[in-house]
Amino acid sequence: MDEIRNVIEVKNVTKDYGDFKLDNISFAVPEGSVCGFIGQNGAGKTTTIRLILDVIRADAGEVFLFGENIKNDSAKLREDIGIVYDEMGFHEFMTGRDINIMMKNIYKNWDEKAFFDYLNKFALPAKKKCGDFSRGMRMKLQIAVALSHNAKLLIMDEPTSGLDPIVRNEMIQIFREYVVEEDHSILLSSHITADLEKLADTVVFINGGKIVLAGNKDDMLETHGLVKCKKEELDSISKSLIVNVQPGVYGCEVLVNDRAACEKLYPGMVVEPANLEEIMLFYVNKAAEDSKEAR
Amino acid sequence: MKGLLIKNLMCMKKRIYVFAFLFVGVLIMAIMYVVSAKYGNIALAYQNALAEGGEDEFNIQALSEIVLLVVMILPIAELVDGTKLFASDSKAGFAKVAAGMPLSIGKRVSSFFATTLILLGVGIAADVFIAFVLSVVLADMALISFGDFILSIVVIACVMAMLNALNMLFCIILGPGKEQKATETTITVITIGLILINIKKVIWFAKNLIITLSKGFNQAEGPEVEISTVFDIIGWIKDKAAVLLIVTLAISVLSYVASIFIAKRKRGAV
Repeated sequence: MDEIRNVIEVKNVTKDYGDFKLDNISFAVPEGSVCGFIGQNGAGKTTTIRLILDVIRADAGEVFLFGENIKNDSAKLREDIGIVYDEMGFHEFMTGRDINIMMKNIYKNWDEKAFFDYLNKFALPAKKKCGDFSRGMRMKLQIAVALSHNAKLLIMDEPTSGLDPIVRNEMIQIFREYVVEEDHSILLSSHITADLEKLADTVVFINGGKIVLAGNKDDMLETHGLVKCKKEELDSISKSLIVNVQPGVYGCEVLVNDRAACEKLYPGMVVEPANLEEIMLFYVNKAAEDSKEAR
Repeated sequence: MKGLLIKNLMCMKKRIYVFAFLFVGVLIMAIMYVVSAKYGNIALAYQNALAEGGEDEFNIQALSEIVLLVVMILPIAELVDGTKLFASDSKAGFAKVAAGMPLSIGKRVSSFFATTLILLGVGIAADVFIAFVLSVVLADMALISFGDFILSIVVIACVMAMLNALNMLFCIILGPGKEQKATETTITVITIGLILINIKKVIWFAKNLIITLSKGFNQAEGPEVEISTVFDIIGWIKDKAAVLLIVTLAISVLSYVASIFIAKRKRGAV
């Protein structure tokens, strides 16, 4: 059987800024998958992406892209990566045509026809200055650029933030079409969990510079559950099952890490499936409480 | 790197248009000045000045040379300004886009230096053309010989290249959005450098200035500090051109190497 190849491998990476530390993080993105990189603002998502792209250097640990250590030749490795940021980054006077002229002289595999096809598909006028584009159009322009050099990996940092639901859906559809190819992978950083729930195969959840949860998204949704109970019932639930407890309208809500076991052990309690947003909120609150206790 | 060069030239598009207008303007003005200095009102003014004994032949010639050379600085000065490239990239947030491209930091820094070098070449070519018209085409009216013009252009180019090399180094040291500060730092460094090189003259001048001020300008003996003649700019250029060229090359190479080294250490600056 073929071994699964990782397009991104982050191994025990640490980066200390003094006021913020990315603390010994490790995760991998398998080839052909969509990895959702979740975390609240300031959790360390962008720092991790900057490390992966070799924009900044880690204090410790290693990053591998397509199986190669980025320290060897990160510039060459970036040939196969398409990047989409939350802000456009192209000069406002530039038109689609200008960007095409620039990019075809930068990327070896630049596909001019594909670029203009994407511009047409996204209804982006090639002669219009991108400074006059709406936010949605700017994001689509970045995606058109990212998809026009036969990139094997898309790295996106909050590409859907600030977009209306219709444009967000359009973009998710574009990403879905992209990963139809078996060797195409995506690392999608976002705090909008609804988008990731629609798209991601695996999820890496970062909080305060630490990876708190990583794994298959469906497994994560399958195993976690939300128990709504009265405060006096709380003590009956095994501590090993509880991730965190939040006060609710009629009692409290408990996130459990093994829904099946919970249903089996406590048949009288209603255990509902938890979505990614709820899982994220409970883990964030748990981390906050833990750090408060540690102090 | 070719793609970044194209992007940089696109960023300088407006300045290239202004340069084109300046080039035509400077050419016309310089021709008008040369013609007037030979046959027109400027010639008449000089004759009157000579007749009244206010100026001598040397001063008249030196004044004409200064006027022409100052005007010829304009086309090069308009083009050779790397801070504009950094400012344009900072405004767009292009550094993060560039960081995702398959280009090393060295190539990204080199693209800035290469762009300004290309533009310096264009500026020099424009000035050489103007010099050719003024000294060869209008040979019978020439105020400065073609050879002296070329030496002067070398000096102008050296000064602009030196300023630009330091500007770009400080842009990288100070980081995005600090282009104005980079220019101010360059001017400060050059001023301090010039003072240190000419420290004896500066002390002499300061001493005399203090004496003059303490005696007062209206004293019968007059001020100690006075300018006897107009500065012999062509003489100075002939004297200093080689030294200036070597200094410029040294500063440019040092600035380039230091810029790459600092950009690699800082990461994400370009």
